[in-house]
Amino acid sequence: MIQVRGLTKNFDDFTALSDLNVHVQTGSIYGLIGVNGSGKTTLIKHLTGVYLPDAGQVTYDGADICENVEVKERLGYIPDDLYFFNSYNIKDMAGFYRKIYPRWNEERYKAMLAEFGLSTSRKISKFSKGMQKQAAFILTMSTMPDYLILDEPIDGLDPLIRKRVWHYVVADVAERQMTVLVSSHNLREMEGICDYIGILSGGRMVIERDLEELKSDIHKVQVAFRDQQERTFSELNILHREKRGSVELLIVRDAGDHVKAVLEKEDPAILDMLPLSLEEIFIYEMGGESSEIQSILF
Amino acid sequence: MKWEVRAVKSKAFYSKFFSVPLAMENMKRFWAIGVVGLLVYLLSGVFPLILSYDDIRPYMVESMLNNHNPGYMAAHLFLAISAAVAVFRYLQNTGSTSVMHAMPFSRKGLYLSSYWSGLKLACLPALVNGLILLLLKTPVYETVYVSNLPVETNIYTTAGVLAWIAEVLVIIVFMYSIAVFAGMVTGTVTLHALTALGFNFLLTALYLTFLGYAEIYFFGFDYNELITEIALKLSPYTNVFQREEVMQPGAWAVYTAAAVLISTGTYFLYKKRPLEKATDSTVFRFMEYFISFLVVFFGSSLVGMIFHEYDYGYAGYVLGGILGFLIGQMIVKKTMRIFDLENLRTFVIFSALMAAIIVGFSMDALGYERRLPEAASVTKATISSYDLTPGNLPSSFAEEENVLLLTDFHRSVVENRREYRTYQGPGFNVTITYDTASGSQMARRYNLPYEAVLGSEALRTLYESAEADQASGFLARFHVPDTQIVLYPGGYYNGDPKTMHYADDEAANGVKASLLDALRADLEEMSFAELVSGRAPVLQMEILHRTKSDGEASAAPVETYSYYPEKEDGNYRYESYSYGITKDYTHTLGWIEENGLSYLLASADQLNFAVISRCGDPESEASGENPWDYGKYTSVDEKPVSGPGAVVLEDPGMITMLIREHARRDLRGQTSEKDALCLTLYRKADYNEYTVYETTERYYLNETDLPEGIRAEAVRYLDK
Repeated sequence: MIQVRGLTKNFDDFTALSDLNVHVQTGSIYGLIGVNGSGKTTLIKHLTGVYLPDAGQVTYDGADICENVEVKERLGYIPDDLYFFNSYNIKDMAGFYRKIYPRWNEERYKAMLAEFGLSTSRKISKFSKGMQKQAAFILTMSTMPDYLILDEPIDGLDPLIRKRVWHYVVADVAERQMTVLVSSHNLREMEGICDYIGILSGGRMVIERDLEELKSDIHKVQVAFRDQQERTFSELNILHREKRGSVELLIVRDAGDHVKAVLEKEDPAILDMLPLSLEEIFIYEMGGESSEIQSILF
Repeated sequence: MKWEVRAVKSKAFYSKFFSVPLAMENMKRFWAIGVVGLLVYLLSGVFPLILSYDDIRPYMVESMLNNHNPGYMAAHLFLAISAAVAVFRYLQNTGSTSVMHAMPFSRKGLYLSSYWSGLKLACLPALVNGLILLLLKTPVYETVYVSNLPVETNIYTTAGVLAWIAEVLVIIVFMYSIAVFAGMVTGTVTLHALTALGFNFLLTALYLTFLGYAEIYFFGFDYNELITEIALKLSPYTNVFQREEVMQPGAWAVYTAAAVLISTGTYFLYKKRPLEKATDSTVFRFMEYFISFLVVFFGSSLVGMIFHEYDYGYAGYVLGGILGFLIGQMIVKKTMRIFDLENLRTFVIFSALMAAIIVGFSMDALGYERRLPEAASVTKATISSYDLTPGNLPSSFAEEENVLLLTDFHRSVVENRREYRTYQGPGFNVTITYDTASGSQMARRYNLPYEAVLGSEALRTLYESAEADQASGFLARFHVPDTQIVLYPGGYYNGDPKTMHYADDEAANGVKASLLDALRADLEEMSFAELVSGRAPVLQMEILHRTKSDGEASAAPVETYSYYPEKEDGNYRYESYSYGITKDYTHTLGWIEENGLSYLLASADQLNFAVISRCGDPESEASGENPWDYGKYTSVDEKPVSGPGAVVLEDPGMITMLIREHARRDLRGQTSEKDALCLTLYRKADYNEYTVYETTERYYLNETDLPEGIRAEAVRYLDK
């Protein structure tokens, strides 16, 4: 389990993270989302032991990550800003990883290399951005990490490769109870892969929940009544309300049965309860369609 | 497919403190730096050596082993800085710093592994070069001349090469440590490289700048050898420029200890380094102010000192300070947008600091100029000036009453500093040094008008004291067989030098002893007035004396001694003394006459004529109407005749008498250069078919001191 407790980080006069708490269950995939500048990368650099916190602690199964080589041997990290040694090809890099990661799996490295079809003799710096991402992924996954931290992992990858990448991640989570934290702006992709979601805003955790639970708690409702009477639905926790002709669109955070029961009491002519995408949840939970929230969607 | 986790033995232990794979990887990645360094070493030293292996010139070996070879010095600098920049480059980029620190290394492991691999990279080329130099070793003899005496020694020895290796390692380790420190406090590769270079010379530059201020503002500041030596010793790299041989093991130990201290401090900085500051100019706030202020300090000082030279007062400091501040801020902030309230505040603080430094120097806030030692605390007081120190030895006094006399004289100089501070004319260049019981030394140097010294009662008493008389006693302790004496005329007037050389001839020992006795008697009896008379020497006496380094003289022939005390075929120290024998050295001149050596005295034998004229203005050749003005003619086509402006003398006896009895080296006792009398000697010179009379020597004459006949001529032709 990865735990972040009371993490605070200031950059000169700017507070990037403030008393932040994060809990990532063992064997789960945790999606970290937030607008630009919300503190995702700063959090990740604390999770990987790169940054020193001003306050708080990051632990992996109870062990502090700071200066902890044993934990780092079991930690895989693919940053958004990739780095390989100058003029090295993937074979050279693998040679280095092999020497510093005790759980390096040569078979997996060879199999992945064959599957992804990357050249072993070409310098990595000559690869495209997507190919460099694949190289980083092959190297990291071959270290057989127990914890995997991914910062924008599929950025620049084509759909086929994305599928392959997620396949490996999900398989390791299922087979080896690997714990994954992934930060991405691609909420549609996150929705299909994550077990938990954490939404960061202004250096604070706004929501941290099981994705299914989160989705079952928020509903998009289309409802129309036979009369023109104004209804307040004070028994419902309405996040957003919009009238389109005679049809009203409601975004409600409540149990589905309760929502249905309250609306049916008014004898609606039309009542449709639709599932909400993560993208929509994110928008409405963060306070509607403000430009700040919209900015994380594509 | 199900993938198994098969962990091999944890490498964590090694990675916590040192990562062999990382160190090896660094060597693999940056080997080219070492190869370039080695090539520079080889091209500058070994290759030329091989090409001239049959006839190796001593200077080649000497410049290599003493690290005076420019290629070697460039290689040391390149290796130390480029290795540090290369191995710690990962700190200066966001991507690399994140990836490296997320890998299974602790900061300690990363630091030690990177440090060690960089150090190896920097040192290996020097080691390889040293081994090649050892393989190529062959005897190379160098001839050096000590007071015209040839001394031979083998300079290409195993010990010499090993000492070179040790010295180079010390230089590289020291410079590399500073370069790593620079990397730890900066956030970009460019600034890392620049500060690595700058910090390596920072102490020397600061010291020299403060010396520059002291020289400008402190009356009596002595920019002596010791001060220069200290400046160069602040870094082993500059240390090599202040000496002829390799460093001593004591210096190696000090520099190595300093390197260890710097590296340890750098390690603690790494532990605290905020990695999020990668790509910023500096990663610690204090460094931002430090670097910025350094740019202001050096900018202000440099421009200020240049402007000061041209009498622009303090304007240069202000201009240089403003320019330095703008440049410094742009560097540390990495932006041109530096005009805000915070920077204005910083500028005000920096300006106040600079003003405090400059005003502190110009007002002598620390009392440097007024400082005089307590006579009781002085173990040795030394006054050094050409005329006050016959034999080129500074005159030292240890008795308290004499130390008091010297401090009295010194006090009179300090009290008249307003008058003397700007004095630029001819006079005495006097250096006073006090050694105290605590081991410290205080030295002052003054350019004083003649009357400040000639009229000093304190100096007269001092120089006529028993301690001053005894000062020449060291001549009596010379081991005569280890002493050589060369005699030659006081003025060199022709192309046929007359000399007498008493060397290792056993028969000459008695002669040498009696000559030394005569000289000692003269020095003991000499009055202060005679000492500072400024008379031209009629005879020059050079004495070369050797002792074993432990103080015991050797009986071995002089020519086989090594000039270098530490080298393998000799262990001797040489001292040389030079005496200008004037007419007041009566015992010595008596000895010369008794031994039939009067022909060595300065005479007009080879001269054709002499001219007495007003000296004129030395600053301007065209200052006067008189064609014989100072410097006007260095040669004439025809022998002149006496007339307005010049008294021409042709009688060799008369000219010889003037040279021996009345000629003086300088203007002391005269009112001005312009009105003083000059005696210019001319010798006939043939250039194929063309004949001229060339100036061979020029003396001053004191009008009141001239023989009656000549004075009458002078009055007749040289009326002011």
